[in-house]
Amino acid sequence: MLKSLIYKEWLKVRWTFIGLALINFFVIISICVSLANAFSMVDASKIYADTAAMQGLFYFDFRYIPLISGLLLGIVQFYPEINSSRIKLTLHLPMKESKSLMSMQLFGIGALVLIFLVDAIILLNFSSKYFPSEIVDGITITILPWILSGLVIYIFVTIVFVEPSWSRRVIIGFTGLAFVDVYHLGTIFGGTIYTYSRSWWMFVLFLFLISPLILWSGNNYKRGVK
Amino acid sequence: MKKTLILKLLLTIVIIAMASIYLPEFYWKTFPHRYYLPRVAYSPILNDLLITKGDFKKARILDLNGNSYSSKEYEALVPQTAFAQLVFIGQLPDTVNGVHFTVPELRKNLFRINFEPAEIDAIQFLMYPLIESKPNRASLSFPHEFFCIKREFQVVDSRTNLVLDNMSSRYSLALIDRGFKFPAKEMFGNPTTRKPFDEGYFVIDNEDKFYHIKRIEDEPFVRKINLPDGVKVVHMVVAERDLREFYGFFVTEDNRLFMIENNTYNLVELPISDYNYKTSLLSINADILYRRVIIINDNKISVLILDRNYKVITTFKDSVTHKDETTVGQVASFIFPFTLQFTSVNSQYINLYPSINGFNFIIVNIILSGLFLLFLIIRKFDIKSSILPIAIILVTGIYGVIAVSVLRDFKKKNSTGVSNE
Repeated sequence: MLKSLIYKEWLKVRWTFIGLALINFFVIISICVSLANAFSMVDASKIYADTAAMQGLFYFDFRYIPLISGLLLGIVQFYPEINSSRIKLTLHLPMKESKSLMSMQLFGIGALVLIFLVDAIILLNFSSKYFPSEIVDGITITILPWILSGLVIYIFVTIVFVEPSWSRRVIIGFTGLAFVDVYHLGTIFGGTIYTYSRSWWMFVLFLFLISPLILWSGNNYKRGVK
Repeated sequence: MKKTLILKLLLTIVIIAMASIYLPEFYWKTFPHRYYLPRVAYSPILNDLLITKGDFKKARILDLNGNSYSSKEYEALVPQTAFAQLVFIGQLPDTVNGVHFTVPELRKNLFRINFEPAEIDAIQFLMYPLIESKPNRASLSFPHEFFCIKREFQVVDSRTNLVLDNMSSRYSLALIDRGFKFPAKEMFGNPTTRKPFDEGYFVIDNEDKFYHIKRIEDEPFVRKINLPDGVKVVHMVVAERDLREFYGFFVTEDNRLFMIENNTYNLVELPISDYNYKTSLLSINADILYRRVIIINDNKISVLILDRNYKVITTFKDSVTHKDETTVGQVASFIFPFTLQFTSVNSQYINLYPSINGFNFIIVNIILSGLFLLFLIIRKFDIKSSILPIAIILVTGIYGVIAVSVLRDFKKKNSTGVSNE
């Protein structure tokens, strides 16, 4: 049963998934190529100085890519479900509805994590060719919240789509936007620079707090609360 | 049943947390609190303080006796800082208080050094350039070698990304030789070549001892700085200035301010008060005649005028209305039970910074939960099953109202668990 559910999800999102993966890798590879170009054209010490001060982020193009990926995947995966109330069928499968909802969401999270993991591995591996581990650690701590924000927006999209009442959707939607924002406090151009290096674990933990909320939406849907 | 309760609580927490970040932020953005602390100068001609009050639209310059001055008169009274304008109109005095005034000397002596909490609790550089302090060229050049002091002094060549073993061990040995304990806790310096000369870095070792490290003719220079007993350096501003009077200023854990003299490494303590390195702004404003130390704590200002030997000439203290005492602040203290922030003006680290402003909010909370109770009674909901939402509003006030309006966890009397709008 679980297998077929996941297969159904895969059929629904496969082209989107492939498209998103391609966009992600394209951006990452373009960052890597630019970095390689920079090292061949500019004095290496200048790039070191910029990156070591955590101000000139050569990988800044990546900042909103996870966010866009999470948003798109969430919409593509859950819009068909609420459109013509197809989710009713899912919830009537001979399977606990909490289990089916959670596995749908986990499938999406898994797909995103897969893409982001490959992004991170390529970027960090490539950077470690040019930079010592101190600087690579700095890059990791900077891109981690960006990546997490992709998962946060995906989770909120799933909650908003499954939730049947419009007034609730609006408030949860705003809460979601606010939640995404706290993952992007790090770099403000021309302003103070903040770092997540002391509190990144907190922001990982938040994911586990918000992820089960889809069950609450599912519960509302099942009871037909409008 | 238990599961849904946990879900409801989770959702409540998430909504309340977000509301307590963004509602106060939006409120303060809409009703901003602007205030202008007085600006203080010392006139060598009047031998007294001159205080500029008010905002940029209508500033008033007064002395302590209440006489007011126009900005033109003011400039003539403070030639040590307003010299550019005085030269422009041809009225710069030759000597003031026996000190000869020439533009290059005045310019060399004019500078400002700031200590800000967010720069003290700041992001550390990941690696520092190992700048050559005695280059055989006209100006400093940016090096290829970058270093950090962890288990040892590690030097990396930026061109190859390889550790330079020979150089690393030479520097490590030089440090061990002077009793340095790895790893370094913090380093201070100006990792740039846009300065007249280089004085390297000032480093706190793992046992809170203080060292001066630089690269001279490709050899390590290490010097231990003798600190008074019990003094722990918190932050140092290294200032490579043509004046060559000092290496820089540092503040300590017990909120004292010291200057390290150039060459001799003598420590000079500046007699400051009202300073807390975690929250106060401190600036040292220097000119050819005086050192003005300005300490700002929120709405309070405290100014210390020192002569060039760092002896106190006079002090000045003043304050303006605190943000919380204004009408807007009072209203905020009623509406918002607490405020959550992930960033703080006093740190560059993102973390949870909760704050609470008095207990005025309890009144509003009680009113809100009363209104909610009234709503339940009018709409004939079962009050016994709505204990949780009432409690949420009672504790978290306006944030709780938003959460409860999403939860809508109230039942009609004798109904079978179907909640309603």
